[in-house]
Amino acid sequence: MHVLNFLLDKIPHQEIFAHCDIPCGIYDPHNAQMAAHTVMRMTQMIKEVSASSKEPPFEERKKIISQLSRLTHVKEEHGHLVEDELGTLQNDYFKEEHYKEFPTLKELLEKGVKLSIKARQNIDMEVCNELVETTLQIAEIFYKTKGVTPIRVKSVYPTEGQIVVPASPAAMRGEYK
Amino acid sequence: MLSLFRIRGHSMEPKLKDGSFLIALTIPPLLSKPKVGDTVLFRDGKKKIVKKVKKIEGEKYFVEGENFSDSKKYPPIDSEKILGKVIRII
Repeated sequence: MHVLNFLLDKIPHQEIFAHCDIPCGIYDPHNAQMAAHTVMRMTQMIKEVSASSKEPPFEERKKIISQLSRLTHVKEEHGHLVEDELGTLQNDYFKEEHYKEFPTLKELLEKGVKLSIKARQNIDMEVCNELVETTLQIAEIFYKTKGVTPIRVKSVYPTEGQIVVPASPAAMRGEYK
Repeated sequence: MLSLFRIRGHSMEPKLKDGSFLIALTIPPLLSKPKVGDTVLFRDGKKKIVKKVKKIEGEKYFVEGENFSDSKKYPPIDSEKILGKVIRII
């Protein structure tokens, strides 16, 4: 079923919503940032895969193919997660007044989805950097709409880079973990 | 006309799972009027929503989710907002 969905996803389709419409008020841009970092990490790891020679033995080839399949699978999953998380913010959280106050918001959300697709289609660190940066900018806007000052801190992920968190005394001192 | 859709959300589970696909017949309801029990697609603002038809009164469609704990109560839907009905779940 998973494979079928993967293949169907390649066919042009529209999205139809059957989502949780309970106005629970629980929204967070953290997941989109984390998923974007994961896409970046998987891209890094795919790039790091190497063979012992130009014509490696069959067993080594199998191992490489298996490794690449797993990394690509996780990259795909987290690429979708970026889209889903941005979709939830776009459809359920951000309102007209937010788009008016932050004129770049709509463009950023659309850009995030496009970059997520591009990051899945390619093995391109530049695209991944752009994807992470876009989710960071969306997170900054999100926290501003909540009346909280956003702050960029160094991520604790192997991708390094940054994530956006709501400012707290510890975060302001750079002690965020 | 047949269209492929990917489902987002949980309100139609277990029948339609989040992330799964469906094929819908997207022709005006005048040509293929949905019946009670059909799963229909309709427009709600900018979004396209999928729900089950519970009751029909004239041109008003009363819809609900399969998963009652996770489904918004929609007001009756005007027939002109109905986009089509689900004919196949993949």
